[in-house]
Amino acid sequence: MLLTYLPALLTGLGMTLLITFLSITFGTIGGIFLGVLSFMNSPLRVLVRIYIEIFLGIPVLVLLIWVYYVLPEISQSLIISSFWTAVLAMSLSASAFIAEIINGGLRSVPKGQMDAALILGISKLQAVLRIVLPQSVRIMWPAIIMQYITIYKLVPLASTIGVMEILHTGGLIIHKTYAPITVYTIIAIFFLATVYPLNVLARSIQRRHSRSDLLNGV
Amino acid sequence: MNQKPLIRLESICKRFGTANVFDNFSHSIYAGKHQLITGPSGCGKTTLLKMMALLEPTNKGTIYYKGTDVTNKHGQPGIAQDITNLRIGYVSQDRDLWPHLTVQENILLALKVSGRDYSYNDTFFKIVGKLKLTDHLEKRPGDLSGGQQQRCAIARCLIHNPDIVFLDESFANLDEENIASAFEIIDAVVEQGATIVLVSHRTKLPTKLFSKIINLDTPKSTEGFCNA
Repeated sequence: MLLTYLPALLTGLGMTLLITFLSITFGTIGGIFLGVLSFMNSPLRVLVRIYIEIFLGIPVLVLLIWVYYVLPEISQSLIISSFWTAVLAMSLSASAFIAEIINGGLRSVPKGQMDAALILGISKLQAVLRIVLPQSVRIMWPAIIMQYITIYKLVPLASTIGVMEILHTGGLIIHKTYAPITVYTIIAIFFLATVYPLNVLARSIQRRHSRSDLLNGV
Repeated sequence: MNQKPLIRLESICKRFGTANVFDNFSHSIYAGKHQLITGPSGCGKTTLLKMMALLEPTNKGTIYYKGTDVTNKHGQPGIAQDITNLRIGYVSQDRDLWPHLTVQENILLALKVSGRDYSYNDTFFKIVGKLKLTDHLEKRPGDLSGGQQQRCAIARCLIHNPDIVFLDESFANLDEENIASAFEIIDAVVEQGATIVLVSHRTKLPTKLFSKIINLDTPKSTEGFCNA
């Protein structure tokens, strides 16, 4: 009988993946922008720091509820659909975490390399893009992939505001089938099956990175 | 001396925590007057070079490039150089080569990104030839020996035809034979009008090259101290 509901669960999984994809995309763009600004000691650095601290500090669940229920109380024009609320909250949170990873990765490249570029007349932005970023990306990747996995695993929180992602869909199916153990187990297996390859990928990048560093002697 | 200095530090103060490394220190570099800066570890040799190159902020005082105040350009040496038309080359103690780029890319990157001619011109071949890097152009810095890395860093500095070259312990990893070759190319650059400021612990350096030898072992609050 559960097979009848499999398409619904897969649709829920599709919604979960869509929210994850959009949150990762917006979060990564925002995170790179904020991370580079933070690294370059730009005049906006204080504002960037405040943004990062706020969104690192607020749990995603609180953020979801705040955006969905509190913002409309402030102004009716701030009513956002539950889907976009989920994408917004996930993206804001992800951008803060990714900004920290980017900033940390950029700072892991010896400062002298940046100085060498600046003294040769290379602009700060060019130095970041051509010298610092290509080296630090290898260091950042495993942490960024882990962050992507975290975002994916946080998406079911959107069920609290009625988004029809996999957990919410599963809940509705349970109402009809009275089979919570089976449904939640299937959902857990879905997550495990999708997260495991990403975990393996992150570990393999990390291993390759450590090995190539040893070979290059850097 | 009536000539205007290329770089002038005026009443510089530099502190690290509670330690006063430089206190009301003034210093000038004149075109063609090469300087050797010596002194024990921790006496401020590298800090002095970095302050002159605008890579290290001062706590007080003014820095002039060709008479123009560039103190507020700290952290933006390229902009200061563009404004004053004073080109500076800097080879650090750690070489600071870019490990993800080949030797050739390391040498030519600055010319490439600034839109200058970065083709294989005579200067490029002359520099890599004299510094014995011709056979290593496609290698990455991690595949080079310490001495080869040092020569690569020197080549990267010389390719942009600097007016002043700051060398921070740049010959520490070169054997005697290669020091001779490094000095050959430096001599060639000197002939083109560049001025060398060298920080070194080494005692076997051709000191006759230098118009001024500065020992930072002495109190650093006077002008033009320790003239040789």
